[in-house]
Amino acid sequence: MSTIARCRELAATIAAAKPPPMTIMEVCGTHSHAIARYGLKQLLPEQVRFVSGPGCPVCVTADGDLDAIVQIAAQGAIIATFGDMVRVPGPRGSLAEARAAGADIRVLYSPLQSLQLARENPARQVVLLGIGFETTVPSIAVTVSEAARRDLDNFSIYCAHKLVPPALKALVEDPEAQIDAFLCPGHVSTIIGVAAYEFLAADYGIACAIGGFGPTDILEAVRALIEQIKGAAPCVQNCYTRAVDYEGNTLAQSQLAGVFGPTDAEWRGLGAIPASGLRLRDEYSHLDARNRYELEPPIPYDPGPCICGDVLQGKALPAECPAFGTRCTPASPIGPCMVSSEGSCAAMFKYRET
Amino acid sequence: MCLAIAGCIVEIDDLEAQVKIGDTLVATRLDLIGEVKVGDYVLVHAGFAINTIEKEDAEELDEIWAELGGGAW
Amino acid sequence: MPATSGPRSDRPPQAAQPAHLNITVEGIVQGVGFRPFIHRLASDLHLAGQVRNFTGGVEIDIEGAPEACRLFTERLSSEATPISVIERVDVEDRPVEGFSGFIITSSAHSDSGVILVSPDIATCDDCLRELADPADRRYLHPFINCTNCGPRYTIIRSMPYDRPATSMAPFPMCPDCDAEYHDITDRRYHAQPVACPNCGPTLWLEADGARTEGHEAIVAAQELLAGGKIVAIKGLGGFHLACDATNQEAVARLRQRKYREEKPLAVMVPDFETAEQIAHISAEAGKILQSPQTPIVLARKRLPEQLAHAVAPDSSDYGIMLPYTPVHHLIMRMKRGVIVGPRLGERAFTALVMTSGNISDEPLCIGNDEARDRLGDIADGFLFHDRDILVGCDDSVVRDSYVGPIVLRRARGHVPFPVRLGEQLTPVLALGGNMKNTVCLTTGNNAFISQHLGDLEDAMALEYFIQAAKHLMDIFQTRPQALACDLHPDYLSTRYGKREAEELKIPLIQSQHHHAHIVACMAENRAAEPVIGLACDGAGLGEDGTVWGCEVLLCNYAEYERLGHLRYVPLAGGDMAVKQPYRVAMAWLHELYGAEAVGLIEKLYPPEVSSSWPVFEQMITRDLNAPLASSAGRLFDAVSSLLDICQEATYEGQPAIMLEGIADSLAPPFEYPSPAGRGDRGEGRTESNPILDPSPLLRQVVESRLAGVAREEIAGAFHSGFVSMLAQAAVAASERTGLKTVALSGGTFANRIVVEGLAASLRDADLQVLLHRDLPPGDGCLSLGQAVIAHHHLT
Repeated sequence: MSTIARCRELAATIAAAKPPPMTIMEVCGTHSHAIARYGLKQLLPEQVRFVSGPGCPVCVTADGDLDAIVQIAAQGAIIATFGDMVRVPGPRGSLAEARAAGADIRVLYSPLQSLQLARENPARQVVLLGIGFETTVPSIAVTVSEAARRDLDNFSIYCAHKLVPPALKALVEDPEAQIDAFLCPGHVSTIIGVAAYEFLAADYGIACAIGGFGPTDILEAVRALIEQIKGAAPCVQNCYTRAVDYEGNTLAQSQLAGVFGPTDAEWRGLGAIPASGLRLRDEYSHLDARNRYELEPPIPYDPGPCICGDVLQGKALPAECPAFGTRCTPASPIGPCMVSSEGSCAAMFKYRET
Repeated sequence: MCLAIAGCIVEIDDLEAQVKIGDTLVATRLDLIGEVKVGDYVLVHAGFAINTIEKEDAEELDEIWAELGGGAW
Repeated sequence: MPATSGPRSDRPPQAAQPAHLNITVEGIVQGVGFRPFIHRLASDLHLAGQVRNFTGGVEIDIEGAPEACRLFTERLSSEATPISVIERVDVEDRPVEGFSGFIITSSAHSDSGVILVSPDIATCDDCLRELADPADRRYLHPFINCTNCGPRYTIIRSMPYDRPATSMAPFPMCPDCDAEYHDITDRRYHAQPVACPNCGPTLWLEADGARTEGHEAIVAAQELLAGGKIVAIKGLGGFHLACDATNQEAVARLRQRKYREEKPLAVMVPDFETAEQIAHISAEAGKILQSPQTPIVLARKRLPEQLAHAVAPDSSDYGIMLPYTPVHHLIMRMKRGVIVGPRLGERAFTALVMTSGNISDEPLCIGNDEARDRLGDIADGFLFHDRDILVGCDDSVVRDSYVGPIVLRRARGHVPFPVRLGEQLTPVLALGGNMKNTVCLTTGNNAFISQHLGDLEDAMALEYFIQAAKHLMDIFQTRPQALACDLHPDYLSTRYGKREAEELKIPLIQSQHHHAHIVACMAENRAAEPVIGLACDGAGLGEDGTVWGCEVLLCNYAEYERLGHLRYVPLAGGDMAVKQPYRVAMAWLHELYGAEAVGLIEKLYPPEVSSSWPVFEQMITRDLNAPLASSAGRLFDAVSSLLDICQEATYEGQPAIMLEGIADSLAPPFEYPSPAGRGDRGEGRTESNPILDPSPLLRQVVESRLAGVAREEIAGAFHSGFVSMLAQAAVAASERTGLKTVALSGGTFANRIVVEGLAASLRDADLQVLLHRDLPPGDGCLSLGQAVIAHHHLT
């Protein structure tokens, strides 16, 4: 059966099940992108509502961190980063603007490339931007331990990594939130496994399903969520067994734990969430960029009409932002959700899902 | 966040592997997964293999990424 | 004192003196059921009086309690149906005359006031219900209409709008229709095109030498279509050519016979649900699709494609429209072979190609004999009727965007609603440009722009153009005191203008192409101050004899100053460079890389193409048929060629349209260096002669291409870089002139990525942005600009 026929069949099954009014948060930016790309919302009954979540690491990086990063860039460091960070507007401008003013910004594919940069530029400091969720952190952990092993004295990391489960907890504890179900991220789950989400179902009664990225994968996950809600039996269903094991990737988890420990962190929109971020363990603290650079306090920043903070909490849809499409476009963005390829505003804009 | 692409291991040298993704060979680290051999399919994220995967599933994932505009990634 | 107490009032009105108001209403208030509405409203409020049509609109007298009179004027505006577009209401106190009851009196002619003609309106829901109801006497009637829908503009010969002045004149009403026509409570009260199965026009099919009438004609047409045949269908504004859009062979055959090689073909779907099934319809696009204008709306295909690939082979979009005449509804939705009741719920077809009834880009066929003659070699069957179409009118084409609907072609449903201007204009007939021509007739503060008349390439097109101009002048009863046209001496519109001006002994005012573009945008927005204009398109003749196409202008309604423009590049072969975009690409490579260009050309192009470079180089260096052009359109063409997206333009704008089609709007942009950062290569602008230099963008295109970056990404990055370049130029012009308003016009702004990105950038820079609202940004708006400029030169 062709994909589109299978999608229609799934959509018909879902409609026949007469789902109650419900709000599903698609946590991960890539899911938002896929849902928009395949036009899945139009295949589903109106009462099944989607909101996007904080699953875009670039988008949830707080202004304070952006401020610090640009300060470090201005102090002559080689900033090594994944691509999406470069154009995010912040209190002291974006990294792209810093680059136009002379800063050295390098875009990486793998964090190990930052070690190479450090070796090739012994007279300069290389600062790796640690931005990303559990999918990325283990590879950063390997990078950090390798840097330590090699005694590189011109490498450091600005660690702004964040963890997904504490953010989900904060979202469901928010009295204003109206989330009935989570479409859990696919590849974060490859690392952290299924058990990491179980508290959401057990303690908060939220239906959870881990989904893949194809249109039928997502619809299967949605169907599982509807069944859970109708049966009043929330749990965590793994609908992406092809890439996710119950335990997750324990080797990656131990690499992560060997280098990082939990810390409180500030999220754009969601605010301060305890134990939701990562910091270097003491034995690696000499590689912490915060210890190596003198930083001024952050500048207060007025984002103007931008409501990225609300979009990240699922409290507003991109189309509800007054600047969406009129003043904020991918070519001329005001906020991070339009910059990042995982941002929900960018996904909505590109696929005109308004 | 969730961008992991699939490829086939064609060469292994200790913790480094060459993984064939599409038509390209990509240098990939194996620190995060257990024993693998040449011919195995893996999920790759940021230059690291994060899980093994079946061949059919790898091919399906390839198709999905192609549709979602793989170029920029 | 008319003391009418009825069910609504508890007691007779307070003892106040009765009032008499005379109300004149201007707008599209004829032919839209307005007089019955007034009658009902007056009865509701227990007012006596009268209403009648006059050439200027509708005139109402009401008498009764002052409070009721006041309510009447309020409800008049708030309760009128959307299609009766009320423009102006004038209320005057008059002495009490002692009206008794409320009557509709006969239409009167008057010399004052403006007549507005309603555009043709898609079949309404009430008529659709009756069409589907076996108990209704108009069940399955192909010509069902009422005061709220049906043909208007295309059947009107002259005003006021009355049956004898339309192409319904040869069809006397049967007694039943006549009764409805005169029944104030009936939806067909004074509905000029009213008809029924017993009277009015007839429908028939001609195929294989046989003639089939009535419902059987529809069934036979469906059978032909289902069998992969091509049927010419007479509609509202002209003939369509139709075939099954899911049948690859049928579509391919239609293309071949129509000489329509690659340009996308419009499709009609039976309902909105089907539209959503085959394409992604955004909320905005959905509104436009279901609007009374029922235009063709461009929407991104859902993949995998559900229609034959030949429908829109190189496009990421489908052009979709909903059925808008009863015949369309019957063909698309009546179940194949069997006339079913009680509902028209079954779809006969997923989609039909519904393309204009012509060969290639010739004018639309509107007459039966004409169709037999011109379409005889294309269509396997003809669905004819005998209600004459008095003026041809294409379907409108619209695309949605985050800055509002972009009208790509303005015709059915829009025309002839005027653009209201902020001033009274001399009666001028403006003749438009060359491609996508329209003409514009100004009278009072109205500018009546004709429907899209197509490209004025030959005698047939010119004849169509002349007829359209005459029709405008006839129905609006206006003779121009001057003519207006473009500077270009070879446009057929210009030549016609010169001849006519001489014959009529009236002045002819010629205006520069891009000035006219910006003035049209200003006029649509009623700009009261001069503006900075960004005029970007393929080509328009410049004042200095070169080809202009990417201009930064300082404009008022009468004059302009050229503040800046895109760097010039030679077009080897002139017009050939439009058809073969690699000529422009190579010229740019030569500009940028000099002697190294040869190597790059050989890397980027196959030998059969790169081998022509030496010839082009000769033409360029010797200045032989290599005119200089500062053209945004050609720049996009060049990039499209460099990325090997399109190497031959088989229709206007194809390379650029395809470039936009694949561009990833999320690709990180190419940087366009600010003035400070541009010094080192010597590429950039000097203060006295501001040039927009695309070199940094083109270099990044070439380098990315050689590095194997995906084309989608390069295309997207180029678009963003182009936007940056224009935005910088606008900001610089604003700083230089102190003006804070920027107007955008020209075919390049049909590109969504460009217009959305540029509008956002300019707003971020605190500039006000003026965009076209109802007119196309392309050459379809020129006639309005020309008319306004002419007026300002005459006064």
